[in-house]
Parts: sequence; C-alpha cells; structure tokens
Amino acid sequence: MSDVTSIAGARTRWVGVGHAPAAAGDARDAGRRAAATAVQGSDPALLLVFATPYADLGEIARGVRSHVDADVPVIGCTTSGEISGLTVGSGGVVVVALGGPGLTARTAAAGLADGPRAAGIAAAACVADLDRPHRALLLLTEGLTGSRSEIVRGAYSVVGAGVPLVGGCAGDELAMARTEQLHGDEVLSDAVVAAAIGSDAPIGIGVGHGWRRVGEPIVVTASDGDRILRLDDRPALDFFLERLGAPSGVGPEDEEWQMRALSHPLGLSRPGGEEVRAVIGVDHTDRALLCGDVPQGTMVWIMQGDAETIQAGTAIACDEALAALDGRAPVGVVAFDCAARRNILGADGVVKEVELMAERLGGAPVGGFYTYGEIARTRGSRGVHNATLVLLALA
Amino acid sequence: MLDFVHQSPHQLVEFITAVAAREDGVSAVQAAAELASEEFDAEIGAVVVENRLGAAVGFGAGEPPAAALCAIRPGLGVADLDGLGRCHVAAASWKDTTPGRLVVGRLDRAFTPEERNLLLGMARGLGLTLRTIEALETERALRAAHQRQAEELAERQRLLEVLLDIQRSISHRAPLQDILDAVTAGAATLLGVERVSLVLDDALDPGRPIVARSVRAASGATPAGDALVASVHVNGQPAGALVAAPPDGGEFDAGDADLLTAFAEHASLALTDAQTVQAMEQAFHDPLTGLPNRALFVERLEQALEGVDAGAEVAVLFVDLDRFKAVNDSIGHAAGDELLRAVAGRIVNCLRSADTAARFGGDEFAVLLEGPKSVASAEGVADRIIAAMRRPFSIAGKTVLIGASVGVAYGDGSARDADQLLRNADLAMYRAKHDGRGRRVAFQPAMLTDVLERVELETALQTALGNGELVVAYQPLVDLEDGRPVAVEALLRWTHPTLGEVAPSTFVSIAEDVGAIVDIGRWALNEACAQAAAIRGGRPWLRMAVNVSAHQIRDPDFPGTVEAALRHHGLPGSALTLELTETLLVDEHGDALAQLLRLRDLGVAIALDDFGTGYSGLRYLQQFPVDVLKIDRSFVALLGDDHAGDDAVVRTIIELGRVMGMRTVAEGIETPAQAERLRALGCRMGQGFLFARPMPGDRLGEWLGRPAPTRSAA
Repeated sequence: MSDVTSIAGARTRWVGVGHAPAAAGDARDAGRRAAATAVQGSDPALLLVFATPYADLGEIARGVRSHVDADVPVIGCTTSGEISGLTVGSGGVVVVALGGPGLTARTAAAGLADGPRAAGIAAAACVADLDRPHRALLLLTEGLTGSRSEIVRGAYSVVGAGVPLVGGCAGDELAMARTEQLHGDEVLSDAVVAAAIGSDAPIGIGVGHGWRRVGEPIVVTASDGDRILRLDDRPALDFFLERLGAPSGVGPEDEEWQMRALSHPLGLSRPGGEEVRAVIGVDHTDRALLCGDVPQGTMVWIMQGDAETIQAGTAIACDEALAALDGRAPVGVVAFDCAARRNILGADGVVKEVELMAERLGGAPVGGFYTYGEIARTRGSRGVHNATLVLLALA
Repeated sequence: MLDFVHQSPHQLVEFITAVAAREDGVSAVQAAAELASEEFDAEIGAVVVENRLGAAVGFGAGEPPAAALCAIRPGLGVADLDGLGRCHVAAASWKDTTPGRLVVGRLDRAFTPEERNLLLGMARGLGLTLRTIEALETERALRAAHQRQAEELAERQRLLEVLLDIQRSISHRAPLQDILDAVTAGAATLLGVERVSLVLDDALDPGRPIVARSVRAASGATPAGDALVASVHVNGQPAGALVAAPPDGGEFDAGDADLLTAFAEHASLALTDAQTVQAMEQAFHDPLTGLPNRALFVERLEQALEGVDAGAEVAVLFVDLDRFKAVNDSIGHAAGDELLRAVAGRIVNCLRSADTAARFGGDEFAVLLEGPKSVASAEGVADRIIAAMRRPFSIAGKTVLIGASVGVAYGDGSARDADQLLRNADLAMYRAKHDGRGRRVAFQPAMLTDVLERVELETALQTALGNGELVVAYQPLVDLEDGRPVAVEALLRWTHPTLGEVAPSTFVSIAEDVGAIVDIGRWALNEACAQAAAIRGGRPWLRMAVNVSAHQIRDPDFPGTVEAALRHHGLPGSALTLELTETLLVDEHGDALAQLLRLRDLGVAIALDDFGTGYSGLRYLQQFPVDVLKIDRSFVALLGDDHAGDDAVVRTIIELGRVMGMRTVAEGIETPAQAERLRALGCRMGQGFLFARPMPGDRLGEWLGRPAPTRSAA
C-alpha cells in the first residue's frame, strides 16, 4: 500500500516519501513502486532507501533504479522498522526522494576495514565542492559496530564546524546478525555511506530523547569502546542489575530482567544535555554491558523513560528541527528513530509518535527508519546518540 | 551545570585517561584537541605547543587559522576565526619543559569560569602527560639503543674470547701450527666464511710462500667477489697476509675488515714472538740441511695435487741413500751430517727452482716436481740424482762413496692424494733398493699387489717354521775334474700349503723384515749340520755350505750360534762353509769384519756368493777373510754352450781367486761345454743342474754313494 504524499510547488524543493511491502513478495517491484510514489515528476537530487532486512536489498535497489536515471544518487540501508508518514511497520521498503531547484547532493561510501576514522574521513569527502549556502552531511553506518564516535570524528575532521552531521545506524530487526548499506546500486556491509546535501534554504536538524536520569552518577571505571566492563569499580552487569533492583544471581535465562536492562539506557553527562547510550545486550561471562561509545573514566546516569517522556522527546526533536529552518515551512523530514524507543513505545506508542510528528511538523512528509544508533552534530564536535530521535528537516 | 561539581573531576579523569593512552606526543596532542572540544561541547579544540599549533579540530579539511589560534591568550574571551566567524574561546596553559596551551572555542555560548577551571586542569594534565610520553619515548629509544649496544657487546665478547684463546695459546707456546689454525679457524667462524688462509713468506725460501689454511675447499673454485686481505707483520716487517674469500654471493663490510685486521694482528703477535719464528722455521724446515721437512713437503704436495683435476702435473721422487749407514759409521756422525748437507746440495742442483727437495729424515730425501716440463723429465731427474750421488764426496778430508736408489711416482689417476702418491714413491724406491740399488724405478700399480702379497707372506712366514713348512734341500758341489762331490750347499725351501712354493730370494728378505730370520737361520744351520754329520762319515773332506744373511751377521750372538751347532752335531769348524753375498759385505762392512774374524777362528770357511755382481772393490777382498769366490751364474751363462762365448769375467774372477789365494766355484753350470770351459780356465769346482738339482736330505746320502760319472768326451 503506498502513501499519498503532498508535494510542494515546482518552484521550490520537494520531498517525497513512498512505501511498499517487500518481504513477502517481489522485492524489485516493491522498490520500484516505493520509488514511483516518492518521486513525482521533477528531477530528484537524492533518493534514500530504507529497507527491511528480510528482502534482497540488491533487488530492491534495482527496482528503485528502474524508476530513476543512472546518475541520480541513491543511498540506503537495512532497518529495524520503517516509518512512512503515519505508517510504521516492518517488512517493507521506504523511499525518501529529495529534489527541486537549489538542492544538490553528492554521495560516497567507505568500508570500515581500514578503521572507523578512515571510513568517516573517506565518506565525508563528498562534501567537497558542494557549493550551496547550507550544507549537511547525512551518514548511514553499519549498525553492529561499536566505534561510531571514531566515524563521526573522522567525518568532522573533514567537514568542520560549518557542516552539521545527521544520520543513523543500519538495523536488522533486532536479529543483531548483519546489517547492510546501499550506495548507488551496490550493496555493502560493514560500511559507511554518506550523502552531502547542499541547499539554498536552511537545513534543520533536531535531536530529542525524553529519557531522564535516575539516581546518583556512576563512574565508568573500565570500558573498551564496545562494552562497559566496570562501573564504580565493580563488575558492570552486577552493578547495573543491582541499581535496577534485581535480586542477586540473575542469569541469562531470566528474560524479564534482560528486557529491563535493555530498557534502561545510560546517559553520558554533557554540558548540552545527556548523550544517551543504549545497552544492547549483556555479557554474562565477563559481567559486562554491551554498550558502545562510552569512554573509560566518564560519568553516566541510568536513564529511564516511559511512553510519555519519550513523546516529550519527540516533541523536542521536532521543535528543534523546525527552529533551525528560520521560520520556513518544512517540505519534508527524514526521521532516524532509535529501535529502543520503538520497543518502549510499543505498537500503540509508535503510532502516537508518528501522529505527533505529523502534527508538530505541519503535515510535512516524513520518511525514515528505526535505527541501531543515531548521528546528529549541530554543535560541539560530538554526534553519537542512542535511544534518541534525530530529524533532518528540509525547507 | 548542577552537576559540574560532580562532573568535572571525572571529565578530567576521562580526558587524561584518553590522552595518556596515546603512544606518542603527536597523537596525544591530537587526542587532546578532540577530547577537549568534545568535553565542552565546543566546535573548536586546539593545542598550541611552544607557540606553534600542534593540533586543531573543527576546521574541517582545510588549513586551520594557526596564527589566530596561537594568539588566543589564557582565560576567557572571543576570537574571530576564519570560516567560522566570531567564537567564544577559552584557553589554559601549562608550564613545563615544553610549555603549551589548550584552547576551546564555542559558537553559540561563552565558557563559564568553572569550565575554564576544568580546562585548566585538563591543560595541566596534558602538559604532564606530554612530559611522561616524551620520557617514555626517550626511554624507548634508549632501550633500543641499549639493545643494539648489548648485541654489539655480545658480538665483541665472542671476538675477544676467540682472540684471548689465541693469545693464551701463544703465551703457552702451543705448537705454531695450532696457533695458526686457531687464528685462521677463528677468523673464518666469526666472518662466516669457509676458509681463511694465512700466507707467509718463507724466510728460507723467499718467493715460495707457506700457506696455512683453516679448511680445505671441497672444490678448487675461485671465489667471486673481493677477498679481504689483512697484512701480517713479524717484528714490524711485512711478512705475509691473512686472506678471506667471501661466501658465495656474499660481500664483506667494514666490520668484517676490522675483524680480519684484529686477527691479523694476533697472527702477527704469534709470529713475532721470537721463539715462534724459530718454531715456524723448525716446523717447516729440516734443521740440518735447511731443506723443507716432511710437513712442508706434504703441504706443497697437497697444494700441487689440488690442481691435478685442472690439468696440473705432479711427480714425486723418493731418494734413499745406499750405504749411507756404513759410511756414517766409518766417518763418524759429525762428518755424516756434513755428508747429508752435501747430498742435499747436490740434489737441489739437479732440480729446477720450481721443484722442491725435502729431507724426510735419516737418509731419506724426497723431490716434488711440478709442471709439465719437470714431470716429463722425472726419470731423467732421478737419473741425474743417482749420478750425482755416485760421484765421490769429500768430507772431513776423506773421500766418501755412496749411491742412491730412487722411486718415481706420478700424480695421476691412481694417486689422487698426497698419502697415496708418497706411498707409491716409497714402494717404487723399495723396489729400486731391492732390485740392486743405484737405480731408479717408476711405480707400477702391480707393486701394490706385490706389497699385499708380501704382507700375506709375512704373516704366513711367521708360522712357517712351527708348521714345518720349511725344508732344507741340498745341492752337491763337485770337482770339475772328476765329478766327485766336494761339498753340499744347503738351500732353504718354503712350501706353503696354499701359497705354494715361495722363492728363497723372496722369503729370506721377508724373514729379515719380520725378524724371523734369526730363528729360521738357526734352524737351517742346525738342519744342515745334522745332515753334514750324517754324510761326513767316510767323507771327512765334505763341507756343508750354508747361506747367511745380513741380519745374521749383524747378530752378535751369531758366532755363538754357529759354535753351538757345530758342537751339538760333533762337527769341526772345517766342516762348515758360510756363504755371504758380496753386497752384504759392503753394507755391513765394519760389523761384518769382526764377526767374520770370529767365525774364522772357529775354523769355518767363508765364501762370497754371486761374486761379480756387487759393489766391492778389491780392498774388501783384501780386508775380509774370504776363502771361496762363487762365480755368479750369469757369468757362467755367458760361456754359452759352445766355445765361442764371452769368458772375460769368468777368467778374471778365476785369476783373481788364484792371485788372492781363494778357491773358485762356478754356479749354475748347465751344459758340458760350460763345465769344460771352466775346467780349462782353471776353475776347480762347480755346481748346477748339469750335476745335480737340489734334493731332499734323505736322497742326498744315496746320491753321494753313486759312483762318479765318467767325464763326457770334450
């Protein structure tokens, strides 16, 4: 089923969002149909493809390509769920198309084999020669890597303070097995794909999460970039469960406490507000928390939230994105929403969220996906988030 | 900012932890710039070290505004930065060995004093960390240098140990060869090459260097690449060199050259030591004649043989002086030494300068001939040497005559190494001696088999007597006038069960070599005496003639043995004639004279066997108590079986005997014509197949009892 989206006038930039189910049937056809819905007439500058991991991304890409010329930039990735207007689901493909006068995009891709920083540097190269007053770099990264901070640092070292970073980490419907990225017609994994977007109008980026701190701050006494090993100098898992009130001796078979652990992200203390990190798993042998991008020596809080607070975070993100547009109305929004928030919101909650977004964003078309991590740098030099909603708004 | 009080120490810890984890100063400074900006949510981070921009974050791929950043003073403020516009900035400095500043810049809001304090803590921490990293880097470099030093020391240690070993052996007066071996082997080991050669000028033979090597190369291949040469000095004068050939495909470096020089210096030390110089000469030269000794000869022989595969020609002559011992005894040992020196001189005069003469000791000399010309004329050289030895020597006012027997052996297919070649020359010389002396004999491969046979015979002979394999046969001597027997010669026979009949000429010399002759001789003498006793009944004029060897004459107990045998068998001395060879007389000379006089005292008669074939001058006949001259069969054969033969020698001997009052006996008479001629010439007695072949003792009596044959018509 495809969504009908509104398209702004030909004189301005436009954003179109299309959606089609892909897992059950013909992946190529799904890609074509979603692209056909997203691109309506005018020259597209960039296509974003967010696809279910259950369908062949290559086939989907061929379907998308069949609808646009070979020289139209396309990037994409697999997801932990798709967002298309008021529809939230799994098993489908969402295509977000950007186009119109005063909008340029260039893309790049880089493998993580040479290291995350080098990949960030290589992916950010597409920003060069983008001659528009407003620029942003959109990154879609491998979802199962723990060194996103290095990717961001690499990209930042190329683009500098004048170019915001935005994007998300690919997902695979919580299987934690393999995520894929798309660059042009090429399917990649363990890679970073980027699109440098240049616009004559301001580009807005909003970040919101809705989590709140609980309890006293905790020092991360030992971490290795992918896992937190010790908190306040005690085995991290034991400390964490204890803080959450679990009885001692909770083991792997105890699903309830597993879920509880996963539903409490950690917040890194930052001047501008916490950076949230999701705990995506536990290591029972080493008594560690699988939680990436938490530097050793930093201070964290356990965060908690519920449907209400999370919606509050959504609102913050929407407002922030719009505020950066300098009073213009958005022509479309790309949403990078953390899979952890989807879990907590539940089926009803996610519907409420997209309704809230539609309302707050003035009915502008929204397309996006549920991610394993979010990227947003509008100030400072950091940009890695978890359990957060990141919105990219174009005017 | 509520939690700043909580936060900032941990932010500081986080910052310092991350920076200190860097391996070197450059990456630490980069990390500091990044982390500082991240900690403060600042777009800009920078580190200035000693007024130069160390790292900057936030300016993207372009050049950061270094001057503007370096100009930011510690504290809070604003700055205009290229590309970004107006920024709020904060900076904090650290003073240390390398002072610097940590700078952060934010676009949207100013830094608070508390943030500035945190920045200060970070700056101080950074300064400290940089100092530590620098110290670590220095230490690492030092450690690497120490490692290298340690390795060099170990290497040097090894070298010193080897050199110490050499010095020790020098001071302990180890044999020079050992020292030189240690030098060349040590150098070869430490240089990692196959061999190092020590080439020395031979003071006694300039132009012919002595070469001592540590290891002989398996093939004669010449090395590619430059050889290392380090000169060796004796008493400050250049004396030679230490030479190292590089390994296949390898090259030497400066370190190798130094090493070889060190060894060369030690070799110089060893050689300079006065005693070792002497020892060197002694080691390689015969002190009496100054000729190269056996060791040096063998060294040169081996060198020469290495080239045989490539077509080089080599020959060896073994020169054994004839009658030297006798002469030495008669003129005294001091004069004997002078004689040896004179011999050495004459031998050298027979040679080309490229050839080598050596004294092996005693009266043995060897000659090494190299090169096609020399080798082709090897036998001619041998003849020249023999001729030179035959000329009289004037020693201590006396005139001395000796001779030489020479064996010649060639370095070719059959003899590939020095030992084999020397053995061949030795065998050839031995043959020359035994074939009659004063001659040269070239080695034949058959000589080897002869030697093997001889060894077999030697073994067999030692048990022959005990096994009863020896018998005495008897050949009558007759009066040529009437054919009646006047004497009987006892002839030793050896019949080995498997080897068969062995000629007396062979087994007697073997018996002498294995020391069995005395026993065998005594046994033979007793057998003959027993037989004599048996046949003399009724024939008191009959004499028994027994052959005596040089060994027996030399044996001081021999006259006693003869006396005992005579007595035991109840024979008077006049029943016995002892037959000696002419050459024995000449060789044994002084000793022989005394013995013969003692035997004569017993009444025993002395006969000279094979007369005419030896070296004796008339003086010998005068000096020695000889009763009988036995004309050698070769001269009797010259008489032919008619009357036209050459009787000059026979006539001369018969006349000689007559003049000197000696009886003559002709040996080997085979034809009536010969008997007739001899009779006509005045020879009274004869022996040969014409009359009787040698027969066993039990038949002798029967033969003697026969009536005398009538004389055949002339």
